[in-house]
Amino acid sequence: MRVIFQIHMNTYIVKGLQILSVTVLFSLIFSESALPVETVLIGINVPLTGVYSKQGEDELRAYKLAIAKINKQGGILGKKIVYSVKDTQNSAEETRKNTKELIQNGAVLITGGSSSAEAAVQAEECQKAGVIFMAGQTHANEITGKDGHRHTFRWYNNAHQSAKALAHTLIKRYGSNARYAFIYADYSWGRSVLGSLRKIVEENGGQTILEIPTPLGAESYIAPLLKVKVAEPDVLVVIAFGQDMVNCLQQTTRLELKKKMAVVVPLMEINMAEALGPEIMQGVITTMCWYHGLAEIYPGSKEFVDIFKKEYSQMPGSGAAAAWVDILQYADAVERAQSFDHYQVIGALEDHHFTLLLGDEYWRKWDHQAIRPTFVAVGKAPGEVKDPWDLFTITFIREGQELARTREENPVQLEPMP
Amino acid sequence: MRRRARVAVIVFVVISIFLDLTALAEDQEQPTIVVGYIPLLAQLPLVVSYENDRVNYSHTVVKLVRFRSFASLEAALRVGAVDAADLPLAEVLSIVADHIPIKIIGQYHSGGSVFESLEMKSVAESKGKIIGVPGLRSAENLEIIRILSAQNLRYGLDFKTIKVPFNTVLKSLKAGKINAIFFPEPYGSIAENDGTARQMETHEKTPVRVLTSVLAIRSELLEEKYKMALGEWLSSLARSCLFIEEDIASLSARQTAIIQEPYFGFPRELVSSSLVNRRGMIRFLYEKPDKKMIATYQQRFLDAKILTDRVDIDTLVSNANLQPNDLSSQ
Repeated sequence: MRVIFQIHMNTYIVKGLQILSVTVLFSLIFSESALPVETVLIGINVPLTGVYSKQGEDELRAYKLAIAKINKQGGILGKKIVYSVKDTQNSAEETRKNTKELIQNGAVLITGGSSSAEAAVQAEECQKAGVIFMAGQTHANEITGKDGHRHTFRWYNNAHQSAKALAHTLIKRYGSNARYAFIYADYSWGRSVLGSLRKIVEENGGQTILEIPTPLGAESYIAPLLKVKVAEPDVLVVIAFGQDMVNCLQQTTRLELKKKMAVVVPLMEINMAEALGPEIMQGVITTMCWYHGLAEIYPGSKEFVDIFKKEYSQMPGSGAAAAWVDILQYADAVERAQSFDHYQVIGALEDHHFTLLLGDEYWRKWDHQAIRPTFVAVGKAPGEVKDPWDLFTITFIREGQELARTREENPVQLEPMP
Repeated sequence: MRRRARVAVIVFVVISIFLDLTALAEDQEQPTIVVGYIPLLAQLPLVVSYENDRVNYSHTVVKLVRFRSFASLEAALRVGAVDAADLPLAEVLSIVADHIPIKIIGQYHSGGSVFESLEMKSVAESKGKIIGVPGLRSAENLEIIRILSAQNLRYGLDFKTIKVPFNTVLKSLKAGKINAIFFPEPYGSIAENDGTARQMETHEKTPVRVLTSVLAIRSELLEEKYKMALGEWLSSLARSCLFIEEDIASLSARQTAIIQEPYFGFPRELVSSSLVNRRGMIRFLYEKPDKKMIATYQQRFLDAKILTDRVDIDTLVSNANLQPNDLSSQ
C-alpha cells in the first residue's frame, strides 16, 4: 500500500488516509504475523547517475511496479520477490562490479541497463554464472548478435530493426538520392546504429557526406553541428540517447538547423522528448520500441500505463516498458517451468509466444531477440499536443518478422544447452 | 579569416555560458535538503525514504550524509552543515538552549535500544557496574537511570554510565572495559551474534515507550520557499515508515535489510532478524511531535542534571504543527 500525501489534498481525504494508515500500521504491528517467508532476489542494475539516469529511473519505477504486482499475486512459485538496486553510473566497469555482487548475493535474475555497453558486460557475467539476464534498454545489434549469450534475452528492439523500420519513411520523404550527415555516440551502441542506418540508406541510393563521432556525456555539440551546417545535408541523423540527445537537439534548434534540413533521431524515448517539449520535437522523425500512446490500441499497454500513471503521475517510457515485460516474462517462465533452474527457465522462454504490451510477440530461440513490431513516429507540432507527454504521432508500424535479422545477417551461435 | 575565427570563438563561448546558466537555473529550481544520518535501525526511514522516492521527488533534492556519532551529527546541525537530523531529544534541547534556530517537526520511530551484557543476567545485578551508552544526553542514558532507580540503584553512586562510540562499543564490551551496554540496534544483536553479550531482563512489568530521538530541522526550512520541498520529503518519510512496517509483516523485513546495506552496511540477516523480533520494541510511524512527552523528558533530563537549561517547548516544537499532510493548512 502506498499513501500519497498531496500538498493541497482535501482535508477530509487527508484525515481519512491518516486514520487508514494508522489502522493498517497497528494491524501490522499487533498481528502475530512475521511468519518466515520464502523470498527470491532479483538484481536491478540501472543508471541512477550520469547521462542516462532519467532512463534508469524510469526503468526502476516499472521494475518496482512489476514486482509489486507479482508479490500481490503471491510471488513466483510461492516465493515473494525482494530486489536489490545498483547504480551502474553509466559505466561498464561499475556495471560489471554490480553484476558480480548481485550474483554473489544470490540473485536468480539480473535485469536492467540503459546502454548497450552496460548490457554487454551484464550478459557476459550472467553467462559465466548461469544466471538469467533480461536486458533492459539496450539497442545495439551485438547484444543479441556477436555478444549474444544463452542466458540473455532482449525485449527491446535493436538497431537493425530501427534502421529497417526507418528506411521506408526516409526514402519516401527525402528521396533515394538524399545526402545524410550522422552525429553519433562513439561507443558500441552508436556505432551499431550508425552501421545499420548507413547500410540501409546507402543501399537505397542515399549518400553519407559526414560522420562525426561524439563522446558519451558531451555537453556541447556546437562544434559538430557547425560542421553539419557547413556541409548542408538533406538529413541530419542524431544518434545520441538520454541527456546527450537532449543536449544535441537543443543545440540543433538553437542553431536553426531544422529550417535547413530534416532531423532524424533513430531511437527515441519519451523522457528525452518530454524534457525538450514540442517546440523542439516537432517534425523529428524517429523510431520507438514502445510508446505510451499504444495504450489506445493494446489492452496490456493500457493496464501498464494506467498503473504507472496512477503511481507516478507521469507516462512510462520504452525503458520502463522493457522493465515491465522483463519481470513479468521471467516470472511467467518460472511458473511454466515450475522451477528457478536457469536452464529450465531458458527452455520455457525460447520460442515462447506471449501477449503483454503489444500483440503476439515471441522470444526467438536462436538469438533470444524478442520478435515484435517497431514504431516509426514523427514529433507533433505544439498546436497538436494534448498534454506534455503527447508528443508523437505513430506514422508507421513495421511488424517484427519483417524487420528481424535473418540467420545470414546475424550468425550468432548461442552457447549449447546441456 | 582570423576575424571570422575570433567571432566563432566568441559565439561558442557565449552559447556555452548560456547553456551552463540554463543548467544552473534548472538545478536551482528544487531546494536541496541535506539530511544527516547515523547507521542505526531506528534511522532506517531516512534511507528507505531516500532509496524509494528520490527518483520521484519533484520539489526537492535530498542529500544524505553519513555520520559516525550523535556528537558529530549534532555539531553539523548546529553549524548548518545539515538541514535535518534524527537526534536524541537532549541534544536538540541543548542546541536550542544555545539560541540556535532549530525546530522539532516530528518523530518517526520509538524504541529500538536493548540492554545487553554477558556477565549480568538482569539489571538487578548492576550495582557497581559500568554501563555503556551512546551519549550522556541520549535517551538510553535516561532510561538506564529510570530502570535502575526502580531497583533502588542510584545513578553515579551505585552504577555509572559512560559514553562509548559506536565504532568501539563491541570491542569495549569484549575487553571488559564496560560491563553492559544499553545501545540502539543493531549493536545489541551484533553483540549477541558474536557471543559478546545477551539481552538482559529489565523487570519492567509494563514496557515503557521510549522517545529515543526526534526529527529536528533548521528553522529556515519552515520558510515559504521550502514549503513544497519539506512537505514532499516528510511525505516520503511517512510512507517509508509504512513501507518498513509492511515489509516486516510480509517479507520478514528482507527488502528493508537489502535497502540499508549500502548506507548502513549491516548484515542483511541481522537487520531482518532484529526488526522481525522488534528488538527494543522498535516501531515506525510518522507522528507529530508529542509536546507533553517532550516536556516530561526535558524535566527528567533536568532532574538528572543531564541538562541545565530549560527550553520553552512551544518555541522548540514547530508552531506550524507541521506534518506532511498538514502543510496546506498552515
